[in-house]
Amino acid sequence: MSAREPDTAGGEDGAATRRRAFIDGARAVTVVLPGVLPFATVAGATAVDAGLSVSAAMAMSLLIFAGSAQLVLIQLFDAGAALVTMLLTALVINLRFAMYSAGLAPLFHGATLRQRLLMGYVLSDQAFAICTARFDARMGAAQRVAFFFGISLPMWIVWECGTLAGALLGRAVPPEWSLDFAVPLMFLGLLLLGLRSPAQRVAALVAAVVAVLGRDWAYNSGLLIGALAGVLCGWLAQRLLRSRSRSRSQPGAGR
Amino acid sequence: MSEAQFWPVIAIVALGTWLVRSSFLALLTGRRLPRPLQELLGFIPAAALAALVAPAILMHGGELAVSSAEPRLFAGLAALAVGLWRRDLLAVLGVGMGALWLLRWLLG
Repeated sequence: MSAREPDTAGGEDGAATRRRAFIDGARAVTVVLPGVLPFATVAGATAVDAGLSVSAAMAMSLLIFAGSAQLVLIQLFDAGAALVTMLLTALVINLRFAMYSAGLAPLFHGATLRQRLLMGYVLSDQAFAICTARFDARMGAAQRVAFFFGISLPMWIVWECGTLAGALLGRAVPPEWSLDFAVPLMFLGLLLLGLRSPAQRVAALVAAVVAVLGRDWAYNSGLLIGALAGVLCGWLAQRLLRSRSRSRSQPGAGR
Repeated sequence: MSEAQFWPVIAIVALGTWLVRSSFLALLTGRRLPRPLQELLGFIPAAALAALVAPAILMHGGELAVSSAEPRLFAGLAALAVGLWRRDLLAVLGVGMGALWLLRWLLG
């Protein structure tokens, strides 16, 4: 009896179950794909518009495979920012993935190391959101892995095809169209989608004000200092709001 | 920066992105993110995106973007209003670009 043989007792990890989980994942991701395609096209077209070659645009898409980080690099390349600024800003915008990674890790107990490393390459905001919403305790590890890749494979295909189409189209777009403006507009859209709590709004507002005040600071550091100030103020606002609501719900307690 | 200098940036960011995403999934399995750190990370998208957006919409080429050739500030405000109302990525993109072109045509 080999270790690869399906567990017939529960039938949980059989090939048919895995296939079904993969298709479920692919089905779950279809609702977000129409939003991913224009994002990818913008990432490809603005890269070329900023003066990068089609191969550099595609290398970003294939190797980085993270829309926000790609757009950060495009915006900073276009603005002539320093190398350190590019690396640090891309790192900061990507730090949210540490949170996703930590959130998903316990859900994939039993997945192989190779699967986990591949998951690290394709992990996306969408995959995180769908997985945390859809996983339940009855799903086995193999099923979850299949579901995850069912989400991620269509995402990957749409992202790569979209950036390629955008990069090829981008050369045909005349500069008067100001395609570079699409980058901050994408960031604005993503920002507004994610603002859920008052503390988040504090974080965004502080970051915006500091980044504008620091727009002429050396190495575009206003960007990073703004982002860090926003994170800190948002976090403090959350603690403040929480302690206030606690003292309100328990009058006289803890004073 | 030339494109030749940009290639190492792509490589480093690619590696960094993969390391961050693989962190708890593959490299630090069994470890948990401390709660205060988890809370701090939750504010990164809002803060980082806002810091990227605000100067890019307010300024263009070192000047306040309110000229008839670059009415980016007004176009950005139109996109912001639509985004607050509809929360739709495509609507923000479409209205922002459309407003920029329309304002230029009207003012120019």
